[in-house]
Order: sequence, then C-alpha cells, then structure tokens
Amino acid sequence: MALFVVFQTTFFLTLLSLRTYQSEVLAERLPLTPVSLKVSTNSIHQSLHLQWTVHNLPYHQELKMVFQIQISRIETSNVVWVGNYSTTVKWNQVLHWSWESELPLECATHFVRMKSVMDDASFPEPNFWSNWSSWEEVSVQDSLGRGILFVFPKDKLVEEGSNVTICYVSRNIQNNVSCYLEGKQIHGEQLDPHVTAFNLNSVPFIRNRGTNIYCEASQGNVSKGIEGIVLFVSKVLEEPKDFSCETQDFKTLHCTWDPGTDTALGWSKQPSQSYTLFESFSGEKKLCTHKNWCNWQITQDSQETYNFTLIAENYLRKRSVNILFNLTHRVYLMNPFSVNFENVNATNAIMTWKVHSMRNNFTYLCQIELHGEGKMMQYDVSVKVNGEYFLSELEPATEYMARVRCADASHFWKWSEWSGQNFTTLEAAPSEAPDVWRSVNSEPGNHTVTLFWKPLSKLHANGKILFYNVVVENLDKPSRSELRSIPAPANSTKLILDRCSYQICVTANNSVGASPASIIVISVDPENKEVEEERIAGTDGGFSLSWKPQPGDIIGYVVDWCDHPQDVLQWKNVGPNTTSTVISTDAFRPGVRYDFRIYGLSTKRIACLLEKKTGYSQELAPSDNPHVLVDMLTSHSFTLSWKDYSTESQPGFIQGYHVYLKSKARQCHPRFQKAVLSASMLIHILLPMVFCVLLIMIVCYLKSQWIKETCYPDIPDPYKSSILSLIKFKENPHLTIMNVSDCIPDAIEVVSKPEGTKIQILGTRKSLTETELTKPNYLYLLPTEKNHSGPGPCICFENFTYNQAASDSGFCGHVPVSPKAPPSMLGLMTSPENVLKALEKNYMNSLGEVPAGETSLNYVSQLASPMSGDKDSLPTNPVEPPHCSEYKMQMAVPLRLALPRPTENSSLSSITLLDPGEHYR
Amino acid sequence: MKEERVVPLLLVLHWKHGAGSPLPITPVNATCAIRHPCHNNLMNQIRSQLAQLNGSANALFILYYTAQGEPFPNNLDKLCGPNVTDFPPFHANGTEKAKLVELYRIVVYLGTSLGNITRDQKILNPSALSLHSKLNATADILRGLLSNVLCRLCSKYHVGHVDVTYGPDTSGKDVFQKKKLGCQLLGKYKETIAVLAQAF
Repeated sequence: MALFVVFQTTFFLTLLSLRTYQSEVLAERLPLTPVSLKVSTNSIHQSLHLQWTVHNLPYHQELKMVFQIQISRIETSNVVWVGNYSTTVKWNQVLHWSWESELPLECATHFVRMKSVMDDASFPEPNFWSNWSSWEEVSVQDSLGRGILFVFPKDKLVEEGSNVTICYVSRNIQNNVSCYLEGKQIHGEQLDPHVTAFNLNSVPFIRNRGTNIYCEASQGNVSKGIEGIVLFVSKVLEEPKDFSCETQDFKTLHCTWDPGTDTALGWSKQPSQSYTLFESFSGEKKLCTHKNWCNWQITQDSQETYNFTLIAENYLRKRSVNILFNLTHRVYLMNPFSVNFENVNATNAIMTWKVHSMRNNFTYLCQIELHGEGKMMQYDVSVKVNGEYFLSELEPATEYMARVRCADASHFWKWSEWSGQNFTTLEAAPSEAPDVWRSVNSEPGNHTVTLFWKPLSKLHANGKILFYNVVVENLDKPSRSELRSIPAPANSTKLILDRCSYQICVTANNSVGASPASIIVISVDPENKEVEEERIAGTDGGFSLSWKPQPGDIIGYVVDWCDHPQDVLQWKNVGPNTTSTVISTDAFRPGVRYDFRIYGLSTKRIACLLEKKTGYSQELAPSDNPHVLVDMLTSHSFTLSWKDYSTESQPGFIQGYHVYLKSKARQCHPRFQKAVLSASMLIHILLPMVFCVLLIMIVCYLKSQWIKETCYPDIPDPYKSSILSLIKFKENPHLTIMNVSDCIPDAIEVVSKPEGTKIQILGTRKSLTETELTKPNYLYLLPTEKNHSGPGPCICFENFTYNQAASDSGFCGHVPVSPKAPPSMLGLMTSPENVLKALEKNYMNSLGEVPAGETSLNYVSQLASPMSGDKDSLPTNPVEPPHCSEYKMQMAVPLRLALPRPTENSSLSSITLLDPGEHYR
Repeated sequence: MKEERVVPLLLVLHWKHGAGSPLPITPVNATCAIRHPCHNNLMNQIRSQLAQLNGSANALFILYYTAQGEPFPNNLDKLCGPNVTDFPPFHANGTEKAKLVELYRIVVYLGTSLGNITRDQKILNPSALSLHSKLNATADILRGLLSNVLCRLCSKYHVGHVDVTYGPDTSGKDVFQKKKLGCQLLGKYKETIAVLAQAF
C-alpha cells in the first residue's frame, strides 16, 4: 500500500514537472512571429496577395493562430485597413491571404505588416501578440511605362448601384487634368501631387458596352493627351420569378421561370447569367442550357416529393429560389384525343373522348365548351380514361364546335390544352308559320291575289326550306281545295280567285316536315271600302303612323307599303292593342311617295282596310318643269296650258304653280308678273285696258317729249327707256289677270326654269329646302331672237312648296347689280322691293347677269331693237343706263282652295292678257 | 518552287483576325511566281480599288468613332489623330515600282490592323452591324488590291519578296486603348488612302 502511494506521488510529480517544462519551452519560443512576408499585386482584381511563414512552430504540430494585418497607403502611418485572419498553422507551412483594394493599386504605394498570436485551446492563457513584422512596400507605378497620363482601373466590372473608385496618375505635375464620365466632369481627391482619386457612388447602368471615363491632361489650352478606361456596369441579377415544375408523363419534370433582366455585357466581360437546378433529396444538380426552362429526368419512381433550388449566377452575384412539391400535385395533362360525336340528331349528341393515362386509379376532371349560334355553353364532367357527355337542347341543323380539356381531379394543377371537333345537328320541321301577307287586285268577276311571305329565320326554319305549300280552300264550297307547292326561295305567288271567300294556308317545308300553317282569308269583296287618304310627313328615320282603334274582335293590324323603285310589297304586323307604329327602313328614298295601308285582322283572319296614308320621307323640288303650251295668242291675251305632274313623278306634293311674266325688251320699264296658280285651274289673266290707257295718257301728258323719245323713237334707244309701271296685283281663284306693258307681241318664248330653294307665298318669304338647278330648257314659240341671251321677260312655273326668292329677284326678277355695289346692297336686293329699287337705279345689265335655267316667256317686240342681233356690242361700262326696265307683278292664288286634286292627265292653262300700252322690244 | 507559289496565299491567309506579328515566311531568295496570269489593265484595277477605298474611308471612320461613344466623336484630334507608329511610309514622287512596293507594305499593314479592329468591334459592339459590314467590305477590297499589286510587281518588275510590317497587336490592351488605337488607325487609313488614290 505504501509502495502504491509512493509510486502515485512520484507519477504526479513527474507529470507536473513535465508540464512545467513544456510551458517553459513554449514560453521561451513565444511569440511566434510571422516571417518571410511577401506581397504581390493582382491588377485585374485590384488585390494584394500576401504570403508568409511562421517560424518556431513545433515540428509536426498544428496550432490555431490569429494574424493581425495592417495595410497603409502612400505612407506607413496612413493605415487604411486593419484586420485579423485566423487559421490553423502547420510546421513549415506557407500562408496566403488576399486583400482587395477599392483604390486601384497603380495609384498609390501600399505597405503591409502583420503580427500573430496563438489561439489554441490546448494552450491556456496567457497568450501574447508577437512583434509586428517589418513593413512591406508595394508599388506598381514604376511599371506603368511611358506616358504622361494613366487612368485606372482598366475594364473593371461592377454592379449597378455600387461604389467605385477610379484614379489617374499624371507624370507631370504641371499638367492640369480633368476627368469626365459620359461627358460630365467629375471631381476627385488629390492623393499626392501626381495622383487623384474619384469616388463614384452608386454607378448607373448605361449600356452593356460599358461606360467611357476619360481624363485629359492639358497645359493652358494645349491638350497633352486623353486617356481613359471603360467601366463595365452590370445590371443587378434578379431573383428568378414564377419558378414552377410540372410533369405530363411522370418521366420528366418541366421547370420554367421568368429570368428577368439579362446581365450580359459586351467585350465578353460578363456572359448572361447561368441557371442551375439542384434537388436536395436526391442531391442531384443540373446546369440548365436555356435561360427560362429546364427539364429534369425523374429516375426514381419512389420519389414523390421534390425540393428544387434554382440558382441564378453571374460573375458578381448569385440568387436562388426554392420550391417543394409533391409530384402528383404537379400533373399537367396532355390534351385529350379521339374526340368524336355519336348519335347526333336534331337536338342531341353524345360527345366522347379519351385521356392519356397517367397512373392507375386516376380520376380526371374534364371541361367541355360548346360553341354554336354565337353562344357558348360550358359543362364539367369527371371521367376515368374514356370520357363521354350527352349534349342536349341543341338547335337543329346547326353547326357546333365542341372542345374538351382535362385536369387531375384529385389535385388540380392546371388544365390541359383543348381538343375539339365540329359537328352539325340534323334538321327538324320548321317551328313557326311563315309570315304571310297579300295584295288583292279586284277585277270584274275575280280577284287576283298575290301572296307574299317572308323567309323563316334560321332559328325557326330548322334546316333548309325546300318549298312552300299553299292550300287554297273555297269557304263557300268547302269540298274544293287546291294545293300548290312553290319551290324555295320564292317568296310570293299569284292566285286568281273567283268571287267567293277563300282560306289560304301557307306552310314552309324542309326535308323533315312542314311548319305550322299561316292562314289568311280572302273575303268576297276584300277591298270594297272607300277610305280617305291622309297625307303624312316622313322623316329621315321613317314614317310615324297612327290609326284609330277598331271596335270588335281584332287580332292584330297590318301596315303594308311598297318599296320603290323595286315595287316590292312590304308589311309589318302590329299587335291588337297597338294603334301606332313607326315604319323605318333604309329603303326609303327622298322624293319618293310612299302609300301606306293599314288593315285590321279579324278573328276570322279577314283583313279589313282601315286607313290610307301617303307621304314622303323627304320632299324634293320637282326635277322637271311642266310642258307649257301657249295658244289663243292675241294682242292682249294668251292662254297657257300644261299637264299636271303624275303622282309617281312628283318628288313632293305639288301645291300650286307660279306663272311669271316679264318683258323681254330692254328699253321698256321693268314689268314682271308672277301668278301663283292653284293646280288644275284655268287661269285667265286680264288687265283692265282702260287703266293702262289712262296711265299711259297721264304719263304722256306729263312728259310727252320724253315718252316720245323713250317709247317711240325713230331709232329705238334702249338706254333711254326707263318706264316703270306699277305692279298690279289681282287675285282670283279662277281668273288671274296680269298687267303687262302695252306691247304687241309677235312671239312668246317659254324658258324652262327650275324652282329655287325658297318659297314666297303671298309676299311672305319662307325657306324650305335647297334644290339643284336643272338644265334650262328653252322653248321658242317663234323663231325670233333664239340666241338672245340678255335679260328678258319670262314666265316661271313654280312648285309652290319649293319656290325660292331667287326666282323673284335673281332668276325671273333679274337683279341688275352694279359692280360697285357693296355686298350689303346685294343682300338687300334679294327682296322684291329692293329689286325694284335696283331697277330704278339705272344699273347696267351685263351679260353675266343673265340667269341660266329659267322658264320664262320672252316677248319679242314687233319693233326692232337696236340691240337685237348685236348683243356682242353690249356696253360694258357700268355707268351706262340699263338696257331694260322691268316690272314685276305677282298674282298669288291661295293654296288649298279645296280644288279637286288634279288627275294625272289633267291639263292646266293660264290666259295672260298683254297690255297693249306696254311695248316690248 | 512550291514554296514560292504559296507566298501570296500565305499573305492573304495571314489576314485573320488577331494577326499582328511579322510573317516568318517568304524565303529571302524567293523569285516571283504567279499561279494565274495578271490582267492587262492591272493598273486601272489598282486605281479603281484605291478610288473605291478612298470613297468609303471617311464613312468608315465616322461609323467607327460614333460607335465608340464619348469622348471619341468630340475629341477626334486628340484620340483619333493619325499617330500610328511603324506605319509604312509612302513617297508619291517615286518610280512606279517603288510606289507599288510601298503600297504593298501599306496594304499589308492596313489589312492586319483592320483585322484586329474588326475582331475587337465584333466583341465590343455586337449590334453595330453597319460598322462590321463596312469593316469587312474594306478588308475585302484591300485583299483584292494586295493581290493586284503583287501581280503587278511580279509580272512587270519581277519582285517576289517585300519586307513588310504589321499593325500593332491590340489583344493585350485594355478596352479604351483598343478603341483609341482603332480610331487612330482608321484616321491614318483615311489620310493615307487619299494620298495613294492621288498618287496612282
């Protein structure tokens, strides 16, 4: 026992002494000073590379050490970086460490030193730092070569938004150096007389070809050179977006993502970012060759869950996104196939299709879309492998397009692509009776009935209409009926029926069957009722019609009319409780008269004419003037006769006629008469002879010499005649007498003149509508002065509705306008009063004032006019006296005198008595 | 004999992009041998090619410095001045033979330099298609011109060997220096080709 105690004590003492010895030995060696420090530079990465060793390390022993490194710039006291580097050091090991400088190394001398301390747990405290190593100086300025200016760093790659320091080295401190970035001068900090540094904060991306930064050295205004660098600024690498993976066959996973901005740069400074797929459960990695998708082979059937990391990487940055999913939840089915239709009939069909089988016991959700007739229906159905769906409530004879897509019903991920097919349903019998109407032309002993029907809409035809059946049944003799089949697409047929009552049934037929019948009954005397015709005014939009409600059983109303010029019967059905409707169609034309008939339909299907209406959608001026004949010509009267317009040729309702009368002779006073005559009225224009004689005698008495020179010169002088007669106005519905000059005509010239655009009714002007002038049509009753183009008397026939003021003044009134007359005067002269005033003013009538397109009666005097046949020599001097004086007389007969409506061939005439006291030359 | 025939071919082949070092070819004692007979109107063709190059030189220069970005377009005198080292001289008042020899040297120099520029610009400015097109077209004409000059030298003056120098190799330069050297070369080319077109 004592021996054991002695041995134990000895062992502990020995151990203690060994430990003490080791500590003493190590303490003697410490601190372990770094030695053989060497510093090199890497200009591309702007880094200092340090390498050193640690002496005094025990042989074959590893120690954990910490090295503190100091880096100074320009001078040793200017420490720019201090840091620790920890590592495990072996005996005789060469240690390496790099430091990247933000300032290009070429622009400043750098100094490096370090010290160390042991940081090993096997050696307890205290540990002491070693002494600093000596400073190692690094300078690359000497190796720059020849040149007066250098700019750094060369071709540096940085990320957008980062901070960059650039610098220049100028060999000659006498040079003034200015630096520019994209043309804008930048300002820096002088590090020493030769070196200046520029801190560029948050550099922008400008272009992938890099950004030119340059410096120019100069002395005074003399440039010594430009040097520069290209800074490559990369876009910031984005995190991939919308990263997802799916399978169509459980063999391949197709992964896609949105790569975002391409960070590639010119000069091959940086290629486009690369993408790598990493699956953590399997530990497999794949470098993707496309920038937005990658396929991953599924090799293990047992692996259901996948954890993918997509890593985007460029020279500056790495970004990644992660998804974790179950494979069965990412099934994107291939589109269905073998789409077919079975048992297709008029309204039903069965759609079948197949789905690509994925795994056993898979249930698919399929969606069907049915397109047809402008509508779309959608149905969802759950299927296994073979899909089937019953399509019902289809329209007959209609083409449909049906398509189907499917998805995994258990874990819906996304629909497959569509697969579709077209099919057409079969025909069915027409579902609605055709809309039928008729026109009846009664003749002695029979009726000619023309049946019209409208084609059935596609919705009701249920197929192609092949023919129409018309069954005519004699209601008075029920045993007799007749069937006619009219092939489509005819829409009318003509029947000649005797004077019995007939029921007519019309059906439309396709390949399957007949439609319900449309029934119409023709009574014994269908159009016997005399109905007053009412005038209505249409609009551009159509005609608004209304009628009185009919007592008794009325099942509806029908309004019919004819389209012009096709003369196609049109009709519109109106319900029994409606007594007005608007007929609007694009077929209505201006200047065309439309006759509307309104029928009531009795319960027995008999149509009874209720009202007639007629009107124009827009009335127009007559395009043709009436053919005027002059007869019974005497020295003081003549008779005008003309035919009324036919109803069809009237572009508007003819409300009356105007007769204008004026002298043709220029020398005489202006005399102009206009008679407003009602249609179909025989007009005699008489002028009290006594009145004229008295008037002339008084005038002659007062100015006998003047009268002699004026009216009875030896050689008529048109410039000296200025007789102004009074306008006589007489109104008589049956007899209109115009007071004309006392001339004895030997010829009357009828000049056609279209009516103007304004109406003058009893002296009141009223604008209605514009109308175009038609080509003048001159009718010479006598061959005298056929070529006369100067102003002359005329008779104008006007449609009273479309009469225009110009006919009073400009056309027939023949306004003489002085070239010096101001515009306001021109305007004033458009009224009759102004016309007369203007005439009194001795303004010259030039040839240019001759109104074209008039219908007038030109009186050719028996006395030779000095100007006759010498119109080319008409004076053009505006100050000369007028050639012709005219007077105008209007005779207006009130319209609407309850005169009988002129028949188509009725003849109109007017007798004008010429005042013998008025001389026309 | 075979070695002599391949001399022109090698010279042409040497104009690949990136060429820049002297050719270790053409034996000193090489005599002139031409695979195909020369055209009768060789000098006219040479004049025509020089005129064609002279006509397009300025457009090429403008396209180039515009594609480099600032400060090039606004500092042509400082960055694109014709300060090209080792550029072969030309004496317009020499004999035709001497002028042809000097022309040969210049065309070789320009050919290699244009090759370098084309290579650099295709990397730096991949979208500057009109510049690339113009550079290629100029290089094509220079090749034809070189062939004609050699033909003339061989056929008339029996000159089978001409010592040549090549444009500087820019592959080790930084991007700004490449732009600058290219601009200087094209400025020199524009200036020289005008003199050459006038001299022939």
